[in-house]
Amino acid sequence: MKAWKKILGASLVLGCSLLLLSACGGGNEKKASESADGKTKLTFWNGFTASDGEILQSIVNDFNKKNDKGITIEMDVMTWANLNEKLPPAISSKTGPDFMLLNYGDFAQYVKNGAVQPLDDFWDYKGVDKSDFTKTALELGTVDEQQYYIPMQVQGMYTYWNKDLFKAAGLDENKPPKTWDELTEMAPKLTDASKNVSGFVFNKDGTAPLYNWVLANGGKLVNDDYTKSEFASPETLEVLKKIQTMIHTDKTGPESISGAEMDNLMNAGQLAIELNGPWLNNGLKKNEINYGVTTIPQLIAGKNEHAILDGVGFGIPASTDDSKKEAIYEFIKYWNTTEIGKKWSIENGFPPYLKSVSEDAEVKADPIVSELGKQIEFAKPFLPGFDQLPSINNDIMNPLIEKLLAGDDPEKLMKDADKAINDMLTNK
Amino acid sequence: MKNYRTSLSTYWNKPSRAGYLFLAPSILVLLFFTVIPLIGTFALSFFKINIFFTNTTFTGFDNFLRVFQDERAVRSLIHTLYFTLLETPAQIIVGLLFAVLLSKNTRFNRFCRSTFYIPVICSLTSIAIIFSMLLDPNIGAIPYVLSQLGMPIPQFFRDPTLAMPTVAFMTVWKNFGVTMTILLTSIQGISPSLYESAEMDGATKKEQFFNITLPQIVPSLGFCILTNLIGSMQVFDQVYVATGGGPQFKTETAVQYIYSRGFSAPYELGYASSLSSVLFVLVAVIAITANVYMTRKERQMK
Repeated sequence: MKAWKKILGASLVLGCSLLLLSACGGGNEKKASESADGKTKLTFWNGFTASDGEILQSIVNDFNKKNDKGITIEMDVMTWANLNEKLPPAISSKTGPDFMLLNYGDFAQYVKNGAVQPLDDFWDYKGVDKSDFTKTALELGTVDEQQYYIPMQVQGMYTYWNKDLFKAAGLDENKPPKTWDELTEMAPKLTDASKNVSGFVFNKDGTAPLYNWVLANGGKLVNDDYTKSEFASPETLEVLKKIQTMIHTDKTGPESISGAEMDNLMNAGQLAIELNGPWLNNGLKKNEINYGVTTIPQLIAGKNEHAILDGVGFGIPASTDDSKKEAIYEFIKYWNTTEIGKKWSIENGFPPYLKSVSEDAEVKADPIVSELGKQIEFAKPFLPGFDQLPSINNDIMNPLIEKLLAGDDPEKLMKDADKAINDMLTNK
Repeated sequence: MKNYRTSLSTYWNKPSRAGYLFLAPSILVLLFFTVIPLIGTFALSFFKINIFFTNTTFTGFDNFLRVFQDERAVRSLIHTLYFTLLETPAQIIVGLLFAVLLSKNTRFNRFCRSTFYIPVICSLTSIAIIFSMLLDPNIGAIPYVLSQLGMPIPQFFRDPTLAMPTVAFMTVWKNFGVTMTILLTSIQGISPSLYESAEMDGATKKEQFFNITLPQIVPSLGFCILTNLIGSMQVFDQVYVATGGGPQFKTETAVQYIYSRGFSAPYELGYASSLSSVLFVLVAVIAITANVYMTRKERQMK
């Protein structure tokens, strides 16, 4: 009898563990998109972890309450890096979200690998007005003349300056650097090591300001059909040398610092000039920094202006069921109304990309938004559809910037990077 | 019928067999979450495959050949060994030191033991975040104290030469409690009569330590060294959070590199798998060698 008890006990343990294992697997199964009462639940992944995420959440909550189609959106917010790690395997194993936000730079490789759906039919969805979108904003989401993502926000790199530190250094607080030369001249003057004040910082992950500067100087990253590197040029070398002089020789700021750490410095009032995206606005306001923001420096002020347009857009994974598309479009349409566009621009300090928003009187009167909006007029997407850009940034450019800031020979760094880009382009 | 019952009951009555049945859940978990992924990883190493599972081609041993030509892969292995050489001895020495210091069962010692064990139960990720904040040259508390004392402020995680020792220090701080506890129980298991007779013979404390304590705890010491070696070779969390492999890839360890190959652009899952396989073999070789050496040492001691 005893033996039977033992067997019973053991098989119970075995059975339970099997149950547990199968439960693990079952958790990933897709839930039915529509329940009996006609309600639709959508999962939505994005990387808005900062204060802008709260504004996004409130807009999504409003939509959940207001919409008359019974759509509920459940947001899952993670860092962009995390999102890009989790999303590809989730899409291939069909456990991805119903729709998500993607950064412009990351999105070409999703298109190339067939992980996202073309969204051209969004323009036919009732109530959507394609003519309200500015052309460059649409270009951000276009690969091979197909629309793969619908704009959610656009942004570039802008010049932020701390007016109090300008005053303390004896510079005109209303004259931010308008050219790259002015920037390199002003930065050492603004630096005060005794007060722990940096004039200018180049973050080690700062590919965006680097490309902006190289383009303004007449340089290039790759040729027009993305087959060969054109990074090695006198124009690029000049930029690299100037960056190195500023940071490594003049010591206008720490040599090794990430973008996030740079933002901390700016928010603490210890940095005079910073080049970064519009997300900096909220932090500066919250920390009551007396700051100004303007368009990115140029080679010659007001002439032949160059700026990189970046952005975030809505994408739908290839794994998403067609039956959900209508509900997703409903939300994307809601997002791209004048009302929401205005809210996002003003509350969050982002430049508008809908014509109706930029023409709005309230938006025009907002000093920050209207200043950021000026750059939209000449900004262009950087290398649209180039799916190797994230790898080039991770494996070649970020290490180059780090070594440059640490004092390595710019010419050698440039040539090595040039070779590495060519290797990458031929090996794909 | 009766015959069948007796044979079955005698079969199951053997304690070892019932034991296997009770082990079955663990074995199944091991099978599903270790053995099958292990075989899967090895199989993936022979393919050029990305994480989207598109454009997959069979490439044979190409990935493995690439591992040894890939400068960054080789360097990440060297960094891993460097970390192991910094971390393991420090961990053992610190653990042993505190185990000896706290071996007497006083109330104060018991308090210290649990205090030193607290970091062990914390997540490595959160500890790495706390350390990055504490050591941040601009906003960190430790550089602030140093500057108030008029000392130079090291860049810790941002200095290419200091970054890895800082990571190793952080790891030792977090983990030495485990080593301490294992060695402590081992020290307390030593028969007091050995010390009594040594004292009668006039042995100093130092002689007692080297001639009684140390030889008696060799098996536990061996266990600690071995688990530490294996753990250090797979260092990842603290590097991922605190430095991300930087500055200038100086803290990029093998697992960090595997991760950045496989899970960020260009998402080369096949290549990352072959890197994993190489690391697996390397860790296995080191672990087996260390194990054999330690077993032999133990026998010599007896």
